[in-house]
Amino acid sequence: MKPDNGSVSILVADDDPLVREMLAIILQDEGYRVDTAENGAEALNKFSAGDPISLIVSDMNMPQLDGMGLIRAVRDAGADLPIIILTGNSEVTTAIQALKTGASDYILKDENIQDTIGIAVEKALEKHYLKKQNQQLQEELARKNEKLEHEKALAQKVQKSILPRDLRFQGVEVGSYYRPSDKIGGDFFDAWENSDKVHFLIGDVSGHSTSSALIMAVSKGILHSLGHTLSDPREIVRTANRMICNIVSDSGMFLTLLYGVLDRTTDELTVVSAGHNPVFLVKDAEVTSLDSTGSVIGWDPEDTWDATSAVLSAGSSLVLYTDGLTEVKDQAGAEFGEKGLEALLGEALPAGAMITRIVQNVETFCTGEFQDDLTLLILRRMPADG
Amino acid sequence: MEIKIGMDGDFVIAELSGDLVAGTAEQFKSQMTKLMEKNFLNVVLELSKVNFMDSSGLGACMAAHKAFAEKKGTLVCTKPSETVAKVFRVTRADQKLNMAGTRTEAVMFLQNAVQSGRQS
Repeated sequence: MKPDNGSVSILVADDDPLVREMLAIILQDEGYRVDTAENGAEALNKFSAGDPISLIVSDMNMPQLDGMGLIRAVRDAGADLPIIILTGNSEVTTAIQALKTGASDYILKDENIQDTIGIAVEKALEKHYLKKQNQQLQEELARKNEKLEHEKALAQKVQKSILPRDLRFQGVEVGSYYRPSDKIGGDFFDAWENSDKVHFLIGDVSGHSTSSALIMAVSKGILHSLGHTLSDPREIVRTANRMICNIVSDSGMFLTLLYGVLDRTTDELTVVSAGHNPVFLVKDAEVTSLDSTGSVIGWDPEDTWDATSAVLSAGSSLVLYTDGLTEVKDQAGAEFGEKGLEALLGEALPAGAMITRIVQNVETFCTGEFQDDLTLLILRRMPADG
Repeated sequence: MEIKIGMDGDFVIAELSGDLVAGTAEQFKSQMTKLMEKNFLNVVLELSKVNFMDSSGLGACMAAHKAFAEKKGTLVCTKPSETVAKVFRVTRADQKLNMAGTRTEAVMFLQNAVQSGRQS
């Protein structure tokens, strides 16, 4: 917004006292504060002395320092205040030169000057303040962006730090891989021992907002504590859903989750999949998929889930992942897909080697262009003495 | 993403085409909010031209479903494309949302919903 004329100081430089005084009177009548200078040198002195000057109106031909010299000196000092040049009819080429040197506008010294000076000053001020305002907005935006980027980096760091590392359990080899996208993500996984049982889970919160990250952190905490007090995965998921529904309310946000329990005394695996993509059980080069057993978490507090049972015998593996893995695309836009993943699982490999194999294949497929978080968790049952 | 809005009698037909994903979910949500603000509370959502729907898109559908229900309105999804149908199936959204095979069935669903709303 352009400030009131009363707070705008204009310096009029002209060696012709008549023109100088006339312009000063016209501009004062418009409400501006006006100061005058007899030539470019006096104008420059006033400018250099720090006089508050919002705009300069200057003649071109003046003794000691001409208009062009004044423009150069002001611009060299780094000031961007508007400068309007007064010029005669025969000096249009000089006026154009002045514009190239840094003048904002020029007006002709003719019989219309009484009208044109006011319009030219107002236009120049308007343009100047718009430019300034734009600059301020851009700076503010850059500052905000920088802050957001910083917060995003911090959030990613926190997210990564709340995921477990070095998961080691008696009789079960665990391999994990987590690769966040450049956005805030909501993937998580966890595993722990509870007497003879190994509990494990993988989840993916919808969206890529700060809320996704918060819900991811809260859900992981809820599941971890429920998993230490309850033993039936259906009960754990059902209770977690009630608590999470309270948090996400009617936002539509949700999470897909696979929660499993392995009984190491019987090798029995019980899995609940809350809308999670199919996971794979690999046994003697044979791959079976375990499909979703109920709705996603966060939509309806009354939801219940079924469980799937399977046997994870020695040497068999369970491969869990989030859709960031299967939804990567090649350059032609084709998805890697569940089939792409399944095709890599036929060979019995240690969990770590299997993860490396999958990740390398996916990276080659999408030429490193990941749009989403990618999480992989593999559990491989070791022989009893393993 | 494009949202084409039309009418079938008293009911709004919103036809989506393109991707319903994180980048377009807000546009969808705001269009649904506008309908609710103008008191258009019975809406058919045609999804046959949606190429891709991610978790944000699915979340937006569910949020819209709940918002219409909250206002005693009804949102019916119809003709999901194969990709969308798969997302609905895996997440069981097809059991939470109102689904209809065709636009005519969707309109009939809305007529019944309005009728039973009047009776109750």
